[in-house]
Amino acid sequence: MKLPARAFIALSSILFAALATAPTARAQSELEDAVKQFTSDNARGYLQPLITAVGANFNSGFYSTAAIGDMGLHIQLQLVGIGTLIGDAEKTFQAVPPQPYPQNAVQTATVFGGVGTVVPGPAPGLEYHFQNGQVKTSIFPVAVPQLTVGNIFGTQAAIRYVPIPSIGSFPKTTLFGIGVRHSISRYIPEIPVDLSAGIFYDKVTIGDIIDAHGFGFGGQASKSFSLVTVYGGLQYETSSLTASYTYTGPGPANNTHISVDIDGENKFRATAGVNLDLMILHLNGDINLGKVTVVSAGVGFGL
Amino acid sequence: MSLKLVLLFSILVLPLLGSDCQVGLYPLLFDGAPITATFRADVTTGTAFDDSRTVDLEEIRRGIDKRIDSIKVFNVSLQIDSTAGTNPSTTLTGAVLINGDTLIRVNGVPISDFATERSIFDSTITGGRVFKNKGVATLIALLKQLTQGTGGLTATVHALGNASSSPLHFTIKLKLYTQVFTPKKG
Repeated sequence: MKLPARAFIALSSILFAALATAPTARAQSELEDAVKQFTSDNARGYLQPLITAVGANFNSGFYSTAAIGDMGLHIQLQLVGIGTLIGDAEKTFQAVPPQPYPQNAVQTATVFGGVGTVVPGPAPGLEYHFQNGQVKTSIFPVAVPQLTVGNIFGTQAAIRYVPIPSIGSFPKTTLFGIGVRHSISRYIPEIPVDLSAGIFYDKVTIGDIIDAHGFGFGGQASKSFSLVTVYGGLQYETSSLTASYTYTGPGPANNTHISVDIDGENKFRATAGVNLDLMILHLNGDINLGKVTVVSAGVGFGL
Repeated sequence: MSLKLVLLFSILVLPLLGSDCQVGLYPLLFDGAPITATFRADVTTGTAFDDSRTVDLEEIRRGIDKRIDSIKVFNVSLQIDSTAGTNPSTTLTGAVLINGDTLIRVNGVPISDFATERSIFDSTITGGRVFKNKGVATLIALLKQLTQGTGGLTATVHALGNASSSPLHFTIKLKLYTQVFTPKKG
């Protein structure tokens, strides 16, 4: 069986168009409403897998080769689709119900989970229901355009910028990312593989209540075989999200401002991928293994 | 392009295509606006107090601009805010009724036990359990009625009792906490 390159392009275009619009847009109003119902401790557990997924996504897809020319024009516009796999571990967390319910932790749904746990109360018909999950998915995807420019003394820069205006109940969202990579193999003559090192930063603002940051640095290696390049890398990374909102629930905390800082749990990853160069068309896909598993695929045009 | 390459690329891309992302599948929960019934007692001769209030249950859904499927009670709290002139060791014997059904009955409970807001379902209250299932059931039924109805809905809350000493100067606050559920999708 042989699948023509055009089929890949069509497939990728449909995929990226779908990823760029639907799921995250529809999620927003429900997500913000759900978050506002939590006091800070439970908000942390409820949102943790989302923060980890957002951070892992935005720390992905910055490169598809370690080969960086010393001097000369390199420009590539790419659409990168990235998705963090959502497993069972990302669907539940331990939460404590409010008084007068027993102050024992119970397992309940995260934002990626199902129906929230119901804790029975001391009187018939009395119960406390934890928030239900709001995003049911096996993968949490995102798509970003990326412009890579270079090369100056073996150095390339990659820039991501996506301003999405407020549409209906979908709040204004802005993504900005920047990365710089430098060739290491230019200092090591006769080395059989290409080596590079890079540093990346992303910032995402979602509506009025969510700000997320991602940061990573690491080394990359690649080996080209005609049109095909096999690449990989090791990366240290951090991500964090600040949810800042006014709690509108019961108790003395009602109407108080809550600011919750949550760090993503993905700190280290190993990447393996394949890049296909067809003149000015570039296709790549990779898998990233860390605390969470991230897959990424890109279609790019350029020199 | 080799078959192996096609397969590898497909493995990486197809999971994204098959993501099956569904948003808002399960109902959202909101905390309803707490409803408070406040009774002020200033009794200088005698030790009995008796007062009624009408509370507007519509307040629970104030500020929620979504369609509501159901409203459930998850807590009721009581606070007795004693002010100058009341003997600190005063105890109360009495009841709180909702639409005529007893919700709380206390027998010789020190008012200091409720100096701060405390759940009526708290099992450590002096003298043991103070809530009555009948009153809780009435509350649950009222909230069901509130969900199904389109107009306003009120409830009558009645507080009465006797104190161990006089004069009496305190404020009783009874607070109802609820969860509001949006409809399930589909």
